[in-house]
Amino acid sequence: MDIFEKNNLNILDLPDEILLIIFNKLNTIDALYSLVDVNERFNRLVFNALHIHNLDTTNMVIRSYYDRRFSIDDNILSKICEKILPRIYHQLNELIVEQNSVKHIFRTGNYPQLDSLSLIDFQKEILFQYLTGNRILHHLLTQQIQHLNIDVSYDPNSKGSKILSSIFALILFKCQRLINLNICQLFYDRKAPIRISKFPSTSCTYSTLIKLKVNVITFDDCLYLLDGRLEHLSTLIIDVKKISFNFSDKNK
Amino acid sequence: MAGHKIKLQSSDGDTFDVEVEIAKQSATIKTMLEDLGMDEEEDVIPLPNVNSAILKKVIQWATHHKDDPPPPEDDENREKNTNDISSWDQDFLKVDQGTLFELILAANYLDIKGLLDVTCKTVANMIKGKTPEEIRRTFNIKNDFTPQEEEQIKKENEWCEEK
Repeated sequence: MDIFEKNNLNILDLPDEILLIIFNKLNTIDALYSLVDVNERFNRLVFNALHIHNLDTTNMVIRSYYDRRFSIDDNILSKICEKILPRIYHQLNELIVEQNSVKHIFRTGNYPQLDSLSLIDFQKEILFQYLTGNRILHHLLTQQIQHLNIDVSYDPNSKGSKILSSIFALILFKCQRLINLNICQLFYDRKAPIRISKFPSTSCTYSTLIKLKVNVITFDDCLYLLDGRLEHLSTLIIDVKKISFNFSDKNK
Repeated sequence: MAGHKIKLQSSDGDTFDVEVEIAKQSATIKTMLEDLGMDEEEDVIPLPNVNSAILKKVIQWATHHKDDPPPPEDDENREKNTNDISSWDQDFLKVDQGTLFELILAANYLDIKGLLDVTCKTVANMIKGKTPEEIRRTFNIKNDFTPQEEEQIKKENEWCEEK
């Protein structure tokens, strides 16, 4: 007989510090899905000791170079929205959301502490609709969000879309507390470019932005960004798709 | 040629001759050796929190991993990946739950970061993807919520569903 069969230690015999090491090996979303409402002790550890301040509700699966899925399983999303978020939404500082889960997640609460938001793998048109039409998102962006990351579905043949440029302008105009914006530089191979030179110069007069990561089509776009309209900008990380001398008359 | 050896004594009195370099994967033993100046082969290090069967397993693990680079420092922001357990470790950890938890306690007591990491990842993988009910069944955990708490949980769900 194997000597180890005599051993009947249970997971509940492990001290809290060890259980927390184990729970911390899991992504927050996996820990919440499996551990909440197992028993009193697990609930206490998950909600108190882990004290969740940030929640990533995405799960990236790479199917091919240009085909990535970020959605989590429907059962997990359902439990997170129905059982977990009502208990933690008030304490979240950071939230990472993808297109398919956004409507469920922003239906749950008003996230009074949230100041960092990542919107991942959105179609540009749908993202624009959310930015202009969702009440909770509108409140968060105008009143709370200081760190915003945007990622849109990537088209390698894109020459810069109008709608993404509009999204960029809208964000600068709308987000009155924004200090850090990453627009399509979260993933090195999904750098969708925008065309900044089409903006009216008043669109971002009041921007509080300090750090910007962005991709543009031409060097002209880069110059437009640096014409003084972003008066607080101190860090610019920019990917210029094409370096060319194509200054418009007013830049001469 | 075999390296310098020390003796490790389990809680149930068995002693094991172990190469110093293998034993030093345990930060606890390393500190004992350095602080107490124990370098004679006759010296015995007592390990009152680890029984013979578990100590044997720990030595087996440490022997296999003796040439591993030191594990990286803990980083809260490091990407959480529980799928990087080597096939040798996977086979090594095909044990009953009781043994797995004893190994975790031993790794924690002996302060062997690599063993603690891989054993905790193994338990994390047993948790991942399971519903709370499946977790209770897997680990033989009793549902200790009161009927009132169960009712409260149901109410919370209704509140969400109405929205």
